[in-house]
Parts: sequence; structure tokens; C-alpha cells
Amino acid sequence: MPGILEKLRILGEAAKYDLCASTASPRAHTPGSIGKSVTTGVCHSFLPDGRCISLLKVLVTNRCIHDCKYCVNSTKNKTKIKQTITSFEPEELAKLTIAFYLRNYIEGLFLSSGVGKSANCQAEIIHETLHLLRYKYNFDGYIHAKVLPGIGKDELYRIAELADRVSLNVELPNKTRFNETCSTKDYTNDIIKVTKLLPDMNKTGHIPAGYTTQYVIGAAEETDKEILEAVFKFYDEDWNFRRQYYSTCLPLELKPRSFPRDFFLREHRLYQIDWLRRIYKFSPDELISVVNDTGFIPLKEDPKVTIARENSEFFPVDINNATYRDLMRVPGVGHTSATRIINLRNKGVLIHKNEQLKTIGVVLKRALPFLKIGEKKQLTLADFQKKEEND
Amino acid sequence: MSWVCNLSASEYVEAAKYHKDTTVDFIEKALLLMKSQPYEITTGCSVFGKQIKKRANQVLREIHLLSAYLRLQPYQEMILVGSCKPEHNSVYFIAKTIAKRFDQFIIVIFSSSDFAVVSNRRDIPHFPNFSGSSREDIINSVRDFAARNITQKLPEDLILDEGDLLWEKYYETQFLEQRLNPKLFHKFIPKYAIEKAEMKIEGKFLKKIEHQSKKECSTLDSFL
Repeated sequence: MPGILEKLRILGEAAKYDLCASTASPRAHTPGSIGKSVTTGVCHSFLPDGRCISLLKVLVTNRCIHDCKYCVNSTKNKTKIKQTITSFEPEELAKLTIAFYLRNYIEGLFLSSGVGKSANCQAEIIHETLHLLRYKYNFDGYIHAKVLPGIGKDELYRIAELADRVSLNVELPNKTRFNETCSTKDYTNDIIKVTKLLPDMNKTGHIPAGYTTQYVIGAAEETDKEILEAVFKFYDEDWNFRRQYYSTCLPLELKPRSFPRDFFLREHRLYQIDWLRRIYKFSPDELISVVNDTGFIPLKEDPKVTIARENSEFFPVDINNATYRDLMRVPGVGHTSATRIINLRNKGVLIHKNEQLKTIGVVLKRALPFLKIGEKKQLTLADFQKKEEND
Repeated sequence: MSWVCNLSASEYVEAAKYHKDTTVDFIEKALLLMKSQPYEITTGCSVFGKQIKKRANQVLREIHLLSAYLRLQPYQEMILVGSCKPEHNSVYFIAKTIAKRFDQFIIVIFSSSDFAVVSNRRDIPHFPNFSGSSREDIINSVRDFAARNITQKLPEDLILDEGDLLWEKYYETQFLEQRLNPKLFHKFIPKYAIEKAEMKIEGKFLKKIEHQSKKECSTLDSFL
């Protein structure tokens, strides 16, 4: 039987492909407890690959009955990297979480699991762990629990009562693509049916930090268009997903190797479109228009610049008269800088110099061709396009 | 003082006071500017306004980063002890920020020249002046004080002696070699923060994999 160090190595390793971001939860703080998830701050730890690991991310067990072809825990994974089968006891996991939290390594727990015997059986163990944390050890930090495909309604509710956020991995954008990668799970019954329970739970006050999902990119023959259609549907009011994550499918190899940045460019473009929909409130139609005839997002250019070029009649925008929404459409201007510009204008401060824009946080190189400051247009769009071609 | 990103002129001046280079003369001039032309501080559009904003941001950034990245050592007497090397006079604010998360604990933070003892516990309105010739002495006097004043104890098995070793192992397992990107890593944890927050484990691991980042292939063709 492996000790806690070995278990942590095996079950941490098996969970590293799951994505999550630590976040604040609107759940009220319980005085006298350990930790707090109310206030936001900087994440507590990052890896040399640039990913945040502010949550202790582990599996309860790496035993799994499913045969997903992209997953390290799959029954079809015949490579030697498949580790010894092991499991955490709920008590062990609860103590480990508190120990890391007190040392200021983490902000909370991200608990996932392979499907050992059945989804419901595994959900019970996840629930027991969360219950120990919340009620025995008075842990008030952030908890993100992974919902296993095919979980029952009651089991899901019990977990949702204790977690700040839950997530269920959709993995592929539709049933056809899903079936290309897994034969033991049913897209409609195990994924969509369970997902449909989440909005009601959130409305009744459970899972205060909402629910998320994740796609594995490149595991099947799916196109970006198929992914974006699924993503936009899940951001609709009916589904109301808080976030959706994208993870490039990596080959299961004995000796992992570094890839060039281009290898992850597709994932990066999907994240950019996701932000344009979620934060910048671009419409699904204009975002889908970025996709080319073969159904993929062109990798060469930032989608926001592509959309700005396609709507050249809208530019240049007058920096001192534009609304928040107009400013958000300008490449190089984000939520923070747009808000600062509006706040300054409300205090009677107008922008006259590029230098002011720079201190506000605007990325001048990208923004100037689309802005009018006073009577001056900084660079015409035609000039900009010529400059880009020359570059 | 508020620690949000978009501050008012008075908040910028307040934060700039704790900068290592700030003098009484600087503070007086800053207060004058704040009254006459506060927007010069918030937008940084004049030389002095920009200087105030820059100093304030440096102090706030230090508090923000160090309170997240410094590591703590728990003690049974409900004490968490940490150590860092802040450049500015921010050790008290770092301890205050950490105390927000641990309102049942006494937080002790050491810097190279100073230390702060902070708690949000309501049953301890005031601390005595802790002193000692070494860090150990100070920690012991805080432990004595806590033992006398706090009945609650942290269960021993939650302290987990090998906690740092477990974190080291865990940290290594989470790394995805295929995505190695030290540039992105340093965007979040700047090199100086690793040193100032005394992040030994992260620093050690980074050194171990440094040679791999040099071998990283640069084009998609070389991968294929």
C-alpha cells in the first residue's frame, strides 16, 4: 500500500490535465473557521509551464472503468506511464488540504476522481471528503469538485451543498465527436442530462461560484466551429456556465517533451474567442464569422483584430466620446483600461496624449490604428494594414 | 487603505508613504499635489504625479505578491510564522493581508530588519511588545503569549511535519513538461518575488528544469 507521499505523486500526476482557476466565492465566511474564499487575490503558486496551481488538484482514485482515448487513466491506455492503482482515504485528503492551506501553498481544493466502480459510488467518497473538511476541520477555503459523468441527482445535490464550484467535463462538442473518443459513456444520458441539473442548483443557492466545463482539443476530428457552437450554447442564459476551458490533447508518452508554442495556438485562439464572448460581449454570430471555410479559426491573427478589420466603418473611435461598449471593441483596450477611461471622463479628465493612454494600460501598438485622440487619427487603417504586411 | 487596483489620489499617496525612498518632504509635496491636482496622480500625467503613482504601485505590488507567495509554518498554539525580504516598509501590511484569511490565528512575519505580529482575533485586542535576540526567541515569546491567552489548539496531525516535502513532490507532479514556458511563469512570479518571498521549493525546481528550456524546439516544423 503506497504511503501518502507516493499517493500524492500518483494521484496528483493523474489530475494534472484537469483545468481550473481559483476564484472567489460569494459564500459568506463562517467566523472561527480556517481560511476564507470571499476575497480575491493573486494566485498562490504557478508552475514553470505558466499554469496556476492555487488549488490542491488531486484524484480520489485513478481507477477508472471508462475507455476515453485521450485520458491517462483510461482502460485503453496501454503505455507504461499508467501508474499503480491507488486511492486516497477521505481523512487523509482532508488533512493534506488543511496542511497545505496553513502553509499558504494553496487557496483551496480541486477534487476529481476516476470512476472506480460507479459514478455514484465515487461521488459518495468525494462527498465524505468534503463533509470532513467543512464540518470536522471547519475549512472555509475554496472547494471545486468534479462531477463524474452519469452521477445521480441526489449525489450531485449532496456535493453541491458543500462545494463552491462544480464542473462536469463535456470533453467533445457533440455526440458524434464524443462517440469517436469513448465507447463506455453516453453523451446524452451521462453528460447533458447531468449538466441540465446545474442551473437549477445554482439558482437555489448551491454552488455559489457557479459551474464550468472543459473541452479536450484535438482528441477527435472536431472543428473549431463545432466547439464554438457548443461553447456559445453553454454561455446562454438557459445553461449559464461560468467558464469553459480548453485543453490541447497531448500524446500519452513515456518521455514527455516540450512542444513549440505554435502547438498550443489553437487552444489560445479558442480562449481569445471565449473571452470576447464572455467579457467583451461580442455576439456569437460575429465570432463565428472569424472561422474559415474549413471550420477553423485562422491561427495567424488575434480574432479581435480580425473582427475590427472586418468592421472598419466603425473605426476610428473617438477616445473622449466613445461608450464603454465601443471602447471594448478596440484591439488593445480591455475591461480595465476602458473602465479607467470612462471613470476619468466622468471626473472631467479627457485624453490628449498617447502617454496618458499608456499609463491607463492601453496597448498602444494595437489600439492606435483604431482610435481618434482629439482631432488626430494616429495611424490610418490602411497604413496599419500595410505595416502589418511589411512586418 | 484600500488594496484595489484603481485607487484614488489619496490612496496612492497613502501607499507611497511606505516606499523605502519616501521622505517627509516627499509626503508634504504629495499631499499638496493631492489637494490641488489629484488627477495628475491618478493618471500619472505629470512627472511628480507619476512618481507618486509609481511608488504606491511598487509598495502595493510588493504586499500583493509577498502575501500570496511567502510560505508559513504552523504552530499548535494557533500561530503561523512566515519570513520574507520586502524592499519597502510593508511587513505589517503583508501580515495584515494574511490575517484576513486566517482570522483565528496569530500571524508573525519576519523581514530582514523587522517583524510584525498581527491577529484578527477579537479576544486579543492588544499584543505586548515582543522582543528577543533571535527569531526563535521572538517566536517562543509569541507562543508563550498564545498558550496563556488562547485555549484553542491546532490538532497536531493537521500540522503535518513533512508538509513542505509533500508540497515539493506535488509541485513536481503537476508540471507539464510539454508546456514548459518559463517566460509565462515569470510573468506571474517575477524572479525578484521568488527571492523576496523565499520560495525555496519553486526556485529549486526552476533551476532543475532550466536546461530544458534552452533545448526547447522553436518551430512547429522541428516538432513534426
